[in-house]
Amino acid sequence: MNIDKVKNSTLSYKGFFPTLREQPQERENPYALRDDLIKPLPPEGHLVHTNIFNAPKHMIDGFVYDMKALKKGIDGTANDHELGKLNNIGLVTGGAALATYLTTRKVTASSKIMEFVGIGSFLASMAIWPAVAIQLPTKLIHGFNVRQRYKDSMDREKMFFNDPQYIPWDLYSEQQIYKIGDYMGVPRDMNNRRDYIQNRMKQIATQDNTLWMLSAGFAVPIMSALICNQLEQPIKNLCGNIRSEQNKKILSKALDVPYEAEHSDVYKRLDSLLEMHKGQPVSRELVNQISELISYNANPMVNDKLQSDLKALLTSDKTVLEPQDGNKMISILRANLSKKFGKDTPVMKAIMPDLHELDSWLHEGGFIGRDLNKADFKNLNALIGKKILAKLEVYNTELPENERIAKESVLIALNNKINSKSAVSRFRVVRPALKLDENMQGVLRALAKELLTVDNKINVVKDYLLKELSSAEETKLANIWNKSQEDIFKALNIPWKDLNKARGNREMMNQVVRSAMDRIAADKTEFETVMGKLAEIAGRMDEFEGLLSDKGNVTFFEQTISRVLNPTARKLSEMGFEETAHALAGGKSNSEKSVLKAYARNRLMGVKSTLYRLINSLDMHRRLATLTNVNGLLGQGFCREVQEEVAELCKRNTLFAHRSDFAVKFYFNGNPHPNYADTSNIEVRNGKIVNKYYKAGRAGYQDVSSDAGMYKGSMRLMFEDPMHPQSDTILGSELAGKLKKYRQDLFSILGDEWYFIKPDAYMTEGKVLQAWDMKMHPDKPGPDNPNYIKPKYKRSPNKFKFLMTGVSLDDLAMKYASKKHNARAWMKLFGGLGIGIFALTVGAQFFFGKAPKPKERVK
Amino acid sequence: MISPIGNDINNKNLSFTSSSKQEKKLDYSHDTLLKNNIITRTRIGFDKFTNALTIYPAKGITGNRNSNFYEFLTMGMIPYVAGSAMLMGVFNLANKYYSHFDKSKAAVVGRKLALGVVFFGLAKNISKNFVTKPVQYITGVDTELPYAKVNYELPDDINDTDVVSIEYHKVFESVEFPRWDLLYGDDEKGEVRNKYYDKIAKKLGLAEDLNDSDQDVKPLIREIVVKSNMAKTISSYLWAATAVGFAMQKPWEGFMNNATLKFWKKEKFKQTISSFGTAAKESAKLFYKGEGHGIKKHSGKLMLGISALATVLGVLNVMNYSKKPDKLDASNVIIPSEKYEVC
Repeated sequence: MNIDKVKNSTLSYKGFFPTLREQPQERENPYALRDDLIKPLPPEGHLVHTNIFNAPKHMIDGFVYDMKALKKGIDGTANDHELGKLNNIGLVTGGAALATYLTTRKVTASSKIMEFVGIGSFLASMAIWPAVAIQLPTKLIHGFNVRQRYKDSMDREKMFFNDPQYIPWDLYSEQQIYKIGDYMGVPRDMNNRRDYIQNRMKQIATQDNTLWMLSAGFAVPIMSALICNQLEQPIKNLCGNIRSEQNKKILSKALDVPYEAEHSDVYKRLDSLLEMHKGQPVSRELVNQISELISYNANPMVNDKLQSDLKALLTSDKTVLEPQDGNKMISILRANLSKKFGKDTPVMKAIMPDLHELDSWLHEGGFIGRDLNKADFKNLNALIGKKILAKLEVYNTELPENERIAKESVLIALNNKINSKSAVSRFRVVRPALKLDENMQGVLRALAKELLTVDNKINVVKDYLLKELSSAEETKLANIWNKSQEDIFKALNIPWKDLNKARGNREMMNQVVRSAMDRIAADKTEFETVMGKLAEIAGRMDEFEGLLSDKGNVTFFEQTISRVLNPTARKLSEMGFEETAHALAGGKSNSEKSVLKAYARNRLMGVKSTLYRLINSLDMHRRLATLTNVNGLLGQGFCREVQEEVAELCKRNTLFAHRSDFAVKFYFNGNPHPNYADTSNIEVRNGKIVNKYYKAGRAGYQDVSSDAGMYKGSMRLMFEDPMHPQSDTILGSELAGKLKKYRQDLFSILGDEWYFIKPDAYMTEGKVLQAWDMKMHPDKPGPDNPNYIKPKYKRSPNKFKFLMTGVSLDDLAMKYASKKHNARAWMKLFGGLGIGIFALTVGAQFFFGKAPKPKERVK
Repeated sequence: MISPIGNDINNKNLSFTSSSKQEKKLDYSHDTLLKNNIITRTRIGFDKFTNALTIYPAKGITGNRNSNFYEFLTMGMIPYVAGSAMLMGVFNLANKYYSHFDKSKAAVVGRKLALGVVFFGLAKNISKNFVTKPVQYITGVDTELPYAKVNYELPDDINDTDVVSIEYHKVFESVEFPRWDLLYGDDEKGEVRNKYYDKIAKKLGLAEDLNDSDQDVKPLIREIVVKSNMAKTISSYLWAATAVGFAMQKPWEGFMNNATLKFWKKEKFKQTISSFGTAAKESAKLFYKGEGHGIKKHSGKLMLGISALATVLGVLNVMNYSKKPDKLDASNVIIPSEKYEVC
């Protein structure tokens, strides 16, 4: 056999499939002799075992394989296995594209991240579900990996049991199979043991694969949703914290690094404008252009002041004459006179001054080189008239009497209105006295720089405030409050069953919240725990505020605002821009500084008030439970029935009253004719008030809110009587001080004993004056009038009252409960469903692999 | 392992037996090429779907030895359908436990996401035609060409005579082992043997009177199939993602609030259909034009553009055969001085 001939034959070409169509059939197979070709190559297939150590490499290898598959797909040379891999690539690409698209529609960082988490968790669930619900249980129950992977000789990784009709059993050694058989409990002395074990494995694998297909559709979406559900809050918190830190960094960087105003567009335009008009008088047009560039549009009030300051700097009501004005004056004179005397007539020649002459007149009159006002121009006009008349006199002397020209006609001609200019303003050149000299340029540049800098920094501060404090999702304040809310209800330890039931019903929620409060107040240790927790939350809030205690009640936010605005204001007032400086950083409530500070303060106050109110409520309940520091209740000489009513009213108000309840009056249904005879003190048993008389909703009860005594007592009990000593100890002196101030403020703004009907009421001896009365009052007095009645309460804007009262506990509880209810309802439904599917999937596997054992062969 | 097949082997319709009367009862007695038209596709789809929900899981869960890879793959429909339904459920089912306000809020999001799930499935399947149809038009190769495969199973027991199962495959399902044989004409019926390959050769610009058009065309067809499969797979996911983005548009909210699937309520159903058109139009506009500014405004356009681009590039890639017809001459392919090995 001529091997070379065979080698040189062009029987076939090296293609995907060797074609043998030209192979001479009658001859002996030529390849049989070729040991370099015919020898069956040893198979290189092997099982693939992954563990956490080689998993990363395995993943990377897989990725590389996928990429190669993509390349081959594009080239058109991919095989079936590689084409299958493209499905994964498509899935991930499509998922990523979708997540990216949805991301662009979301605003906050965490919601953007959640889009990717959503897609990612879905893909992950697709991989995790069969591993956890099928692979692992089967491994434990039947002792083998049903999702075993192997690589064939072509290095293609496949699932071992994918195709039940083609399982490469030879990859398992005898030993491995027998080990599995032992685990399964297959008798060791069985005939064809390996066959039997393999069959059983195959059967289990087929069943598992089917189970996988049946369960995945239900399990994967639930699993993915559960993952998202669990990750959402941590991601939100993380994003919030990261952002807050970033914000702080951005802020301090922006504030420390000087802003290079010179590079800003506005400054460049101003600079070129100033260069162009250098040394020139400041015309009105130029003033307009400058004030357009130097402006403070962020705050119209500041801008108004700035513009008026600028105008004062740049304009003057005085003008100045310059040498070139001589020509103009001469031409005006000529125009006026020639109408009467004709051009180039002898008269004209005689009486018209030349430039030199005019110049000497002006010098003589002292009109050159100084600021001229309106009166000066009157004088100037008179002087020129006089001089021309003098020249006319000279001219007339040379003429016969009858040809002489009358003075009057010259005067009339001189004062003729030309171009509707009066005689006075005729020579008045519209040229401002001010020149854009270097000094002025310097001032304007410095001003522009200062304003641009402050504008830039204020924007950074505003942005910072917005991100930290605004009422949007993911601000630091919102995150802190969400956490605080969670902690508060955890501390109050209200059974979820009750909260859930009452979540849509205010009446029910009132009862739930109230009984919790009574319970806590009655028990010393529980009270201390809860108060301690509330103190901790308050401490966290203070930390967030960045309270600078040594400088008084100034928060980090307020300090930052002052830090930006004060230096600028100082510089501006040094430059003479007093008004602007005041508008920017003055003490008035509408200055830029106050507005910004108020924003920061109010946002914080609203949140803090809610917490302080809760502390106060709890403290009052404790005071009532122990009858400590209850002067408002016992020290007012109330009879027992009224005492009971006051206690009831105060409990309701501290827990449930809204701002409107405080603002109008305390509606309260009580007994209009209490039993005054019983002057005993209210009874407290086991920390709970035992009512002898009062019973809510009793027939005959009326609104008794016009009872001034009761009102006074209530206000004192709620806000004036000192806190319980236990509270003082737990809160610590600093926090207790703040609480004290908060209570005092409420006492005075909600109205002390002088005010209890309407917020706009004044009180004289024994008579309440309504706002209407005040207008009509015969002695409507001013402060200097001896009859002046000083308002007995502090007038506060409603917004302030609103912020001070905070959110009532029942509102808080309802919102909290319904939010939690939704989350729990969802979790209950799908968590339950998920567990059910998992249990079913795992449970089914116990019944798998019941292949009948082969009958013993009868020998 | 040898299974008992009974004594009366001739009464069973096995592939190696001669044809019998029984054949007439069956749709197919041998692997049969089918026409790729809407009727066949629907029939195949229905058949596969019902099997996937009934026979195949029943066989699989009992570990039947005749369960095969085809059945496993066909059962892949179950997670697809169940998963879609479940996804809709995840977003909507819990709503009824919420308070009224929360319910309405959650329902808006939930319904839109449900719509997204439906659109995903529709777009993924419809968009495959964006690749396969142009490819078929240009090259003449129908990559989706179906055939019915007659599968002879092992009998479950000695009395089991129902051993035939029909599977629906595609001729080019495997690029390594395409069913070339099905594409040959039947000499006995007077058909030209290479009829199909001649047609493709002509369409691809090869000569019309090739001796062995099949041998010349097969590598080309394989390349076309690989490339179009790839384009189809990748682009269909992009189209599906685009469809979800489309479903997320605001105009759908109004539609979903009033829509009903209760076709027996004539008026309301009619209204639903007409308002679907309006909502689709408005949403398409909004999706394309975008809102806001920057990337947010253009993201919809971008998404659509990328999907379309993937499709167009995919089809162009198919048209760009690496082996141009002129190179196919044996004298070009085989260089006499080279030594060739059969491997």
